[in-house]
Amino acid sequence: MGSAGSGKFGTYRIGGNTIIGGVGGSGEVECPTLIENIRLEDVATSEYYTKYHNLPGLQSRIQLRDRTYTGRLVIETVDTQEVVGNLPTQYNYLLNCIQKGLKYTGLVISSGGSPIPFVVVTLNA
Amino acid sequence: MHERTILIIGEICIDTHLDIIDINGPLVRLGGIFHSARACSALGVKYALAYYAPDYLEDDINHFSCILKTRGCYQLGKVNNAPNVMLINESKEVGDQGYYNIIKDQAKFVETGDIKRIIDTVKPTDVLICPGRYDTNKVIRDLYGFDGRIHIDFHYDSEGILNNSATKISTIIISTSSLLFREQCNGKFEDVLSYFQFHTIDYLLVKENRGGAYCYSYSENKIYESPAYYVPTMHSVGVGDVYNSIFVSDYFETELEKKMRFSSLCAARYAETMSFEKFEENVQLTVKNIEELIKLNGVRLSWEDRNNKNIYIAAPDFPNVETGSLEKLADCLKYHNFVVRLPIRENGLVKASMTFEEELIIYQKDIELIDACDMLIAVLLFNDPGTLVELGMFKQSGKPTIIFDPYNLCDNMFVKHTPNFICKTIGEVIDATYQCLQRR
Repeated sequence: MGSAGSGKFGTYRIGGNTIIGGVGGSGEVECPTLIENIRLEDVATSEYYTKYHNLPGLQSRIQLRDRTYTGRLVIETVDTQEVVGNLPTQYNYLLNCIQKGLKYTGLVISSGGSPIPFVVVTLNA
Repeated sequence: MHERTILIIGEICIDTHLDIIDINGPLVRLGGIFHSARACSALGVKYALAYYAPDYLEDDINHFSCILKTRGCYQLGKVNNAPNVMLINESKEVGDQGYYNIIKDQAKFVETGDIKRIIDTVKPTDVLICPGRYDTNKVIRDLYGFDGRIHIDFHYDSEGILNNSATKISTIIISTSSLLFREQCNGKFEDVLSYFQFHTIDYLLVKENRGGAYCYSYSENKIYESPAYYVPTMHSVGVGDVYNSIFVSDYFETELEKKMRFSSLCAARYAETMSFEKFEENVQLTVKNIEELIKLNGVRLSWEDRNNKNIYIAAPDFPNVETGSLEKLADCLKYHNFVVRLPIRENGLVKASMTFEEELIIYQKDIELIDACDMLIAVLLFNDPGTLVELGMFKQSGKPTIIFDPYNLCDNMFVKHTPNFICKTIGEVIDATYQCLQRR
């Protein structure tokens, strides 16, 4: 009769059908190709809003700047490279992806002024 | 070019991740001081290992230490009668990780090496000691007269290791996860300082898990702080060891805050993968872009600050409801030193037999509790109207809200768009909590 058990050291492979259980949930995350519904931070004090007192409309083209700006990753317009807002710090790890050569562009999927100016974007690598 | 050579002393065990299932079952890899070895190797830091391990691991230790480009790998002692296999129930440290060392109490540590001889051979500039169940006190006493720097991680098995020792210690490293910090030092910096008051130390580093770290420089009488950097975490096992070995290396020798930020960035890189190759690639990228990365805002929320953060848990916490996931969430938040407020348990449960006035008193107390809290987590065990009303009321205060939705119930437009975060796992809730409550 056989027994169950782990085979040997050094068998782990990224994307190799590894299952993560317990309370922790998700497993190893590579640079994502799609990030949906990111609500930007500090929109009201951003370069774009302070200059135009307005926000980029639906479907406006935006991109993730390829370097930090005052300690943050920022989203800027594709056309004028003006900062629309800060990316929440939970996405700071994307800087590593940018440095690997990925470029993130996307669209404004929602924006408005009430109760405070807000912009929601989707990014694609 | 790195000038320092670090000798890392400690146990080697087999980490068995019961919650990460690979093609062969639970993921296994060499743990203990091998986590520090991976960090040194990935960054090109010169290092050697002096270890305690069972004989049966010797071939694997030699094989993998060669792969990790060690300058020497010396057996300091054997572990007999126990396999040194660590079962890890929860790899991400969402809460208590539930480490289980198989038949650890029958382990016998037999010295086979001589630390002085190893020092003479390796000629390290620094010694990093990871205490274990071996005679750490003797190793420290034997290092008396060593003319380099000695750094000690007081995470495990550190009781009495400095007794009767005149050996000078450069760095004391302590983690908020350790029993020494939580119990003997009551989770307070002043008590940590008191604990080590009779020793001559250069630096006291306190690592505060996902909330950053601080380091007290005795010579300057100054505290340096640095944030933690969030990454999608795959595991937390050995992440502190990675931090330690980079902190004691010669990276940013004279810039303490920068050194701490760099150590934290590399530790985060270790937490996001189980692949050494990917870790190595990512830390090399970190080194290459360090001036850019170091400017990044991270998460700073000290252990003591967390104890002032009241979190209102809105949930159908009723006697007839299965509240297992609510209990687990509360335990995990407490593990991270947040203050959990459960309104029904604090203010009482409304019963059918109660009068209108009695019910109103409980309602008013719950409203006062909402006002007093810094954040709300709504736990959707089912679509309970009370939970959703509390969420809406809290949102209007402008304070952060999180929905924990373990059963995928969240499909209503208002519910979906109200919170700052919608989380499916407790791990995500803990990460989101740090994001919401971090210092601004």
